Amino acid sequence: MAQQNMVQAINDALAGEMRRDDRVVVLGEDVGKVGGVFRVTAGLYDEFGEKRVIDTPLAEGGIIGTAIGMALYGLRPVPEIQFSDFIYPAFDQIVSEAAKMRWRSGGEYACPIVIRTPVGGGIRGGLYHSQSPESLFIHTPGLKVVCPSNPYDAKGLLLASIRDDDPVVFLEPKRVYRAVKMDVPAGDYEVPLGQAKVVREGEGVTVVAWGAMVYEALSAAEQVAEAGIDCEVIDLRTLWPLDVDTIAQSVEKTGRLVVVHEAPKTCGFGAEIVQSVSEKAFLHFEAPPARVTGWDTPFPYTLENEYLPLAHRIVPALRETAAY
Amino acid sequence: MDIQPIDSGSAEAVSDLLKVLASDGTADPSKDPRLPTERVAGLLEQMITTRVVGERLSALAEQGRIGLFPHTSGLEAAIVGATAVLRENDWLFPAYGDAGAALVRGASVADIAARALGGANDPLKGRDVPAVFSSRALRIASIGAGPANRLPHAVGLAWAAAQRGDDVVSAAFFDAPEVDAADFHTGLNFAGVMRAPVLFVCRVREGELGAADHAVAYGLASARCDGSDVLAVVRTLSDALERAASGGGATVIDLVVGGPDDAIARARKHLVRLGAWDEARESALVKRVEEQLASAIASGGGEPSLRTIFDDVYAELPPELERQKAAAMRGPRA
Repeated sequence: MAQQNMVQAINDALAGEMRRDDRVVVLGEDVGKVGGVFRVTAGLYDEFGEKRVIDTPLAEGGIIGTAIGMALYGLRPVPEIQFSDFIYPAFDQIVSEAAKMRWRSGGEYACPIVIRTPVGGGIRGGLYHSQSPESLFIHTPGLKVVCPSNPYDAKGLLLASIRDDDPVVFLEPKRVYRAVKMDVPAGDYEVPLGQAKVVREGEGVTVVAWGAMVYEALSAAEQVAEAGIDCEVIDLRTLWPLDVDTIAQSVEKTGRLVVVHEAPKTCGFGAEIVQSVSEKAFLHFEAPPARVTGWDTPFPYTLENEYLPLAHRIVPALRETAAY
Repeated sequence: MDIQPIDSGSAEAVSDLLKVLASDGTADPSKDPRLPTERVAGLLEQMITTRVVGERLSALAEQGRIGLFPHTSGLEAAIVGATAVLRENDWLFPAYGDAGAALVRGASVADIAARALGGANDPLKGRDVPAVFSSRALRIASIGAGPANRLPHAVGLAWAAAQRGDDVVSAAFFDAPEVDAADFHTGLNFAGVMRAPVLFVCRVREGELGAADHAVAYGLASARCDGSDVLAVVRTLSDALERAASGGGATVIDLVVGGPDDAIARARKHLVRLGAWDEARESALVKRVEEQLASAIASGGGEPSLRTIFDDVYAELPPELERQKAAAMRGPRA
């Protein structure tokens, strides 16, 4: 089995699916000849040509809008938005059109598009190349939202997303793109949408994270393990639909919950996770559920490691929650 | 220095536009699309049906029995003529209130009424306002409320069809105020870059600036005609469709309405002159349409089942929506 980073694994998934299904097309800014700003689509233009890999004008609303039209005709478009910070010009097309297509047409029209977009901070990208807008899409009925943390999951989740009949916002943690290598099967496999994964078992505190913050949660868990705090870390993988059962089962065991995310705290997905778990497992809580998140500020360039909820900020939250 | 102000009213006057039918109903033989007379009579029937349906449903809206149903009065030649040119495999992205376009594509008066009533017979399950109509069988796309949002969809669909090797053109209907919206320009830009076979059909009322002047910036063809002249509309759209279908790309078309002659009156005069229309035929048509409307309105009652709110949000209901659906079904009801 070959070792791949996340960029290679996603490229592998796209190429494999484009060979298997000629309805799959890729479109976006510089995704063709250049191979994308992060080279995720490198080589696809040479293999599949301009009718499958489309360099578009620099207009995100047009990228998603044309992808919606392609999907109406039966294609399976995989548009790329260069950075999730640039997705806002396409927000109306995603929220008002793609998300509502099936429902508003009485079930006659589906909109199976997968919007791939790099997400999150930690690459010195400043406030316009670092954001985590997942809550905006989770809040929108009709969308699915996925965020893999590693190359294996990225490939399997992307294949599952392309084969899904609903629109998927596929968030790729850019900090992980080339930072992690692991064995990734060359062949076809899916990681099912809507299933979280327990990536570290423990009895003391449940820690929920996704994307690049999974590694920070694991690092923090190791640090507090020396002090006898035994953390269970859950990688959500799919943010919506939320696998609340996996979290609630863990909380029934640990009685304690800490959610970690890069996005700002207020109305962040952490709040929804805490409340959803409360509705299922309130009587099991032995401590107030806690959140470790980005601050409610724009994302800073120089002080990005002070903004991000890295292990040094997760550790105190784990200690406080365990000691409550 | 004497600087002349820019003439912002550069759109041509209606009298300068391509016109086939004169006020007295005579057709200019050099521009006449030469449709069979009975085909023109069919267009007039659909125009009259569109007006009767629109007036009746607008009245229903004014009585508060249904939501807003905008008047398309005066646009009948533009809507019916432009839709009639499309072939069966072509796709229509209508504007709000284009019930007439749905009629031409094959929807019945009862279908339009059922949709407008939003009741148990509504194919869209009471989910959208009365003037929105979509149908996969009729290749009428589902549209949202955002101005010009559907223009990029029309481009993507037409591009996809061409990519599959299919002879398909898409037509996006819109009204002149939508020219201000970002997605109008995005749609034209992508159509030019992607060489997509699209007809951008703009209805321009008096005093409005149209869309056609923007075509040149995006490398697209443009055309203008008298939008109250159904034969001029057919002629203009036919030329544009031929260009799109033969690889010539998209055309941006202004259908300028609001001249001195009503669209229906002019077509009627033309057909009366040809001996192909009379009062008896028209009153029988109006009576038939009114009966169909009355029957549909009488039988359109009842709300869709509560559970339909939760259907079609996703292909499969996620667990959280299952819980919410169960809660809603337990009540209390409104």
